[in-house]
Amino acid sequence: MATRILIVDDASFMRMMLRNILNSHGYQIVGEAENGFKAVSAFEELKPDIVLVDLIMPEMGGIEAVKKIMDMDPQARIIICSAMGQQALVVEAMQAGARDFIIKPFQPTSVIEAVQKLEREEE
Amino acid sequence: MPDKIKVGMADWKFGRNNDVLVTFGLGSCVALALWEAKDKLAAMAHIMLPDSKLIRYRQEVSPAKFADTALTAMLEELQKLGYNKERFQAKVVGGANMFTFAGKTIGGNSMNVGQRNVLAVKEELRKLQIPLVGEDTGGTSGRSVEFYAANGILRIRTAMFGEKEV
Amino acid sequence: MREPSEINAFYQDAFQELGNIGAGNAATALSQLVGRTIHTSVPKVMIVPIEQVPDIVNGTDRIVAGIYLKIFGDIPAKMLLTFAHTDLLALTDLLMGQPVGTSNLLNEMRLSALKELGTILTGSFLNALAKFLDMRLIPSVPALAIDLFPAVLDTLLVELSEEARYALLIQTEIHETETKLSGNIFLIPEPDALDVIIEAIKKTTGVVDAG
Repeated sequence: MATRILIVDDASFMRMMLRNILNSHGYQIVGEAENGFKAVSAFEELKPDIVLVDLIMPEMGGIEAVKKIMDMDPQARIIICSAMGQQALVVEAMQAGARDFIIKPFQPTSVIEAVQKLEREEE
Repeated sequence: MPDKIKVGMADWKFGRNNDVLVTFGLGSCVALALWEAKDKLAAMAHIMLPDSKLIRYRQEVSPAKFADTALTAMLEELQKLGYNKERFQAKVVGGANMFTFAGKTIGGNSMNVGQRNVLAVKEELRKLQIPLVGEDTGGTSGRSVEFYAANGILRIRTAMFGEKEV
Repeated sequence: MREPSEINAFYQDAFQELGNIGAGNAATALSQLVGRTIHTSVPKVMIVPIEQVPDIVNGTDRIVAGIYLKIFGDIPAKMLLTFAHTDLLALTDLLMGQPVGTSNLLNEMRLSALKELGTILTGSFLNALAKFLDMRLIPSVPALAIDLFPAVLDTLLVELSEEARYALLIQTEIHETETKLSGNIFLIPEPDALDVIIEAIKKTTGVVDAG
């Protein structure tokens, strides 16, 4: 069964881009969210295998969303996908529970590799 | 030959007869236009902020910068030229909210600065009993204004919606 | 609090270098996004009374897309990216991986692409500065306005003028030679951030006191 992915980013353009990249490699996008609040409720409802999360979003940002999702499910597999690649922020995100960090702009292969890496860890 | 007189930010100018007062780039700023019909005297201020009392450096800049000092300053000067305030009518343009961050207004105020500028200017007009006879305010577009002293008409241009007259 | 007008030549040069470092990184990011070489100009550092900014920044009658982000963290600032209206279709074609000339309409998706462009370029700009100055710099979500350039500047200038008389702007132009696409990146530190930047420059460059 295809790995089920939830995409979280406030830019519809970025959600479309990630959807296209992941679909073309056989991944199933089970949902999209445009801010941290909606990400948390989508995670609860859809129980995706992997979550891709942006950091800077309105209402609730990525770090807080990661923490809330990890509270709900400590095994949650979260990849950050953000333009903010500063060391302190990457560390913060990983400490919150994210497993990997993709910096924008990214090559499509970086996204696929990060997802595949997480899939392998599960085996 | 109409003389175009440019009014910059935080400034005010006046002109007569065939003069045209112009100001550009009204975003949250407000243009306050005063017109005296008999002598065809036009005065316009490009106001940036609602309240000078909140500003540390207010003594060092033109009173035209602030809604609460612009009208008084203009009327004082025009009075010296022989024009009492009773002779003027006013029009107000601008005070748009050009940027919203995900539905919220910037600055953390429940009212954005454009709205506050419009309200502050109207309050000054009310206090000094100058009739407000026209306005084009609010919205999300920037405006440029041409104010014709010959007939008191304001021609207002926006980037996307062409021209209108007030 | 230091007024921008009190900043001497040494620090003005340093601010120019900040613009260089940031814009260079942003240009690299744009280059990766559109698959073309992007060049940057020498940054201009302008220290002027706020009311005069529209006069010295060219383009009173140009319509631009302005992407505005607020910067938080160690250096509160404003970031404004502008692209000429006439470049937007080509720019969004490139962002979406389509041949230039594909689209003739700026729909919601393309406007989202522009905002995301602002986020990514700002992110790259700030990441470089943060590393150089050993600081933490976080942008807000972006806001977009398509309007006459002075009107786009107006909102930022009014906000700045609540705190200070002068503005310090670091402006860099980025451009692509084939399509002639060009854009401007403005970094405008908040008035109370200037001292912080100067201390950081001192620390980074090892200069004890240049004024």
